[in-house]
Amino acid sequence: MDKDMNTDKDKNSVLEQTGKALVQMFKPKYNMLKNKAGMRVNMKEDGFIEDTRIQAADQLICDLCKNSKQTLEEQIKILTKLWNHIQELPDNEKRKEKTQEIFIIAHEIKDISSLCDYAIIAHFAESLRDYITEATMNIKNQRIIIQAHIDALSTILKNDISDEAHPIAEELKSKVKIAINKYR
Amino acid sequence: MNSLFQNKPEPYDLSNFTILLVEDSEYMQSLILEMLKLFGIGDILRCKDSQEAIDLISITHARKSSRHIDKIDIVLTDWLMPKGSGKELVKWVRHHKVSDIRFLPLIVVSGYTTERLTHETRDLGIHELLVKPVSGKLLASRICSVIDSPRPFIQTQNYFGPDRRRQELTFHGPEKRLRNPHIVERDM
Repeated sequence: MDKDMNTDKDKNSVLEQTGKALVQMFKPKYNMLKNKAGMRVNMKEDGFIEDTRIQAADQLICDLCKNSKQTLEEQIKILTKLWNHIQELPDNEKRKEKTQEIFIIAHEIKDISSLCDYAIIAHFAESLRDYITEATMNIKNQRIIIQAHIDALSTILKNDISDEAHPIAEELKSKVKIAINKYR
Repeated sequence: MNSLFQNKPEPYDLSNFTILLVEDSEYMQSLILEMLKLFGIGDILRCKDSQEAIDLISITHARKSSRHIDKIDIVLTDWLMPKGSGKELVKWVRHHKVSDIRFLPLIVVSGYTTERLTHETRDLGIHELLVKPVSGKLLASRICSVIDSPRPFIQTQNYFGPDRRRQELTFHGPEKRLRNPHIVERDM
């Protein structure tokens, strides 16, 4: 049990035994957050955020997604450029360091594409992001897998595919899967 | 003032709230920031990783006696951040000596949707998990949940955080508890 617990202003209690474990429960006396949100502290009914505000937030996502294809194109360009640069690096340590940047970009591509309903791009970006955590950059086989992901992302964007069931998407998924299984 | 006399649900006025948003992606950070502004959140602090968040929480706590600095009410953090993850932040908060920090409501925003993450975040003591992609409804529901239902905090040998039991279930087996847990009332 944390000894520092007893140094807090509200720790005027002694821990008691419940069965085999020591359990202390801190129950809210007043709901101060509710009060801060303009309600009475003891009001039992839940409050809410106005629908108009929620709709405005959703509209903001829609507006943002109108330009998402361009954003994704830029991100994939950066990714490709970075990957080309990494392959030219002679030092293994530097390659590892730069690989972290691939992880960040893949993560960002995944976030944007899933937000804007580019399910297939999200699929490959997530797959690349997860793979990069286990990839060792000096192994040739693993380079093939990363390249396969980047090629798949570029092809999908070039052909403007957003549906996971699209024949090209299916084919690419199958090819990348084969590459991962064969060269992992 | 009407709320003093009425019990009907009313929209929250979040203009006095301060939210700390921890998100490494500039794209997602600016999106969530704008969404929070649309919800009417008064003050939004931003940072890109857990270390920056730790510094901000510490500074805010140290300076909150100043009337110009309000305390942080809710922390909204991404989970996967290369330069200091959400996990590090959650651990730091829940192990902090100062109760104002240790009891902070934490909402984790994550693109991971695994059961393992759900269990891990719950066992580290978060309040709510918001799985990406975010939407207005989802974000609003997590914020409202923190405001509507301040769950009691539980301290055991290996856990400190909000009560992980979201519902009361009837137990039909033999009673093994020697005593009820010790209950401390506090403002939350």
